Amino acid sequence: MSAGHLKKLQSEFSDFVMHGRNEDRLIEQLCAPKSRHSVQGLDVYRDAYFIRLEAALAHDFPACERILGQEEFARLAGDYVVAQPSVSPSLRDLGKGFADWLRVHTGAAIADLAEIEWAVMRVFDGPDCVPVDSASMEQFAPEDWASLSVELVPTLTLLSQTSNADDVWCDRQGEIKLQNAAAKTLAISRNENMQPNLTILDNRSSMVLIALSKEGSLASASESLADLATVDEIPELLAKALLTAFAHNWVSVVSNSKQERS
Amino acid sequence: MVAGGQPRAVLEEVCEQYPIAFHGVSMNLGGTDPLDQAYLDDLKSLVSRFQPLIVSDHLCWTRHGGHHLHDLLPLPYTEEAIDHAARRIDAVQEFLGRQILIENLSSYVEFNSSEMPEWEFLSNIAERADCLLLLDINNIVVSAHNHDYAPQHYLENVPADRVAQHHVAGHSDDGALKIDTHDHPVPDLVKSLYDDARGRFGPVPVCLERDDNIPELDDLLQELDGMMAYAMEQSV
Repeated sequence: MSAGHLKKLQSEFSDFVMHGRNEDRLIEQLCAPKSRHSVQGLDVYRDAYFIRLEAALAHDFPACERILGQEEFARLAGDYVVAQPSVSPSLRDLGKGFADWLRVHTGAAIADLAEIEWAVMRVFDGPDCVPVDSASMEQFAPEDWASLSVELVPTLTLLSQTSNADDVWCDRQGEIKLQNAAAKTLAISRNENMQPNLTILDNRSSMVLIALSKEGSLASASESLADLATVDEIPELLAKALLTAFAHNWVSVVSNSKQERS
Repeated sequence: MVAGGQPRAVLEEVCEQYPIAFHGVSMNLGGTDPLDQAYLDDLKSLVSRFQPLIVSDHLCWTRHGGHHLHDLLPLPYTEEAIDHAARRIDAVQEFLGRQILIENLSSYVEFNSSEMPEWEFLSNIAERADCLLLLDINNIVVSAHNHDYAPQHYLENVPADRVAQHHVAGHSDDGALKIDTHDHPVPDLVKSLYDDARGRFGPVPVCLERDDNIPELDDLLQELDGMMAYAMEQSV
């Protein structure tokens, strides 16, 4: 058998495990191909693939499974795994696209809930980062503030949602029904005990925080907010959003982008 | 291999108190996709930070065409597969700057293209790549049952000087096949073979694996103590 044959065998085997194809061709390559034992052996691999991956998703999205029911969750998880096979060596990453997939194939509310659960995973094992407080602004002269850039902690996730998924996620008794609701923005972050915190933000604060996290400086963030407020209002909006971010330990770095470039 | 948070904090704490072993499932040593350099970079960084006594993975393939199957999939026991896997193990050891251990699998099929028994395949790769062996006693029991050979014959035919760790575990049995589920206590068949392994390979470190139906820690520790006592009794 050449390396080319090894590659062909693995191609056929993975195609069988993931899609159920090539069974006859594979069976011919097994010892005792006509025995029931060989067919059963192959089935162990195919069954284990779906059981393992569905279990990983159920582990990472327990509230979604509770709302959908085990059977429906397993059906959707199986479809997701077929549509988006794992591309990471870690099962931890399998659910990365699950919320988006649910949004297309089920509905917005359950997708909102999945987004929350995925953000909570990031709280659980995302990068460690020591937040800075508002005193970190004091090292910069007021005339430099326009060129300051603000980085938010990597475990903070901002989610725009149109359901009561946050209430459902917090409801340990399982009494609240998942349904559509008024649009809101959630901030999910890690607290000092490494537990998740859910904070509801007003629309303007959330847009400012998103602008801060994307733009290179306070000045360019201000420009990107031109549709949200008048030129006179923007400094106050920025200040309010920054104070909220400092108060919740969401700021990881404040630096002078002009100095960094020079 | 996560960036931080609770898993990393627990690992830091455990490391302060105990020597540790890193055991992976995704190195894809027998796969035909290229080795995953990002994965190896993360592993190297973790190894450098925590200095584990042992770094191990499995003699199998786990990924094809960029897709991860998250299972330990079997190889045909051929000269070409030996050459292929040995070269990749060698590359990993070179990159990590240390010897790794490779573990034998539980398997449920065997390929008719195989040119030798599993123990010969494993031993040849270990010799060629100059790596060490993690002999999983439960996997030998499972595969010996599924492919109808004597498990003792496996132990007798691997190089004793390369065996550096054992795994023991329980399995399930559907009548026709034994399956490596790690969800039962260690059965007598595995305890007995572990006793033989201790006789042949000496007291190398052993890990009791349990992934499902996990009992209280006290019960697990009692099981481990019981198994060690069994091995000591048998060796008197």
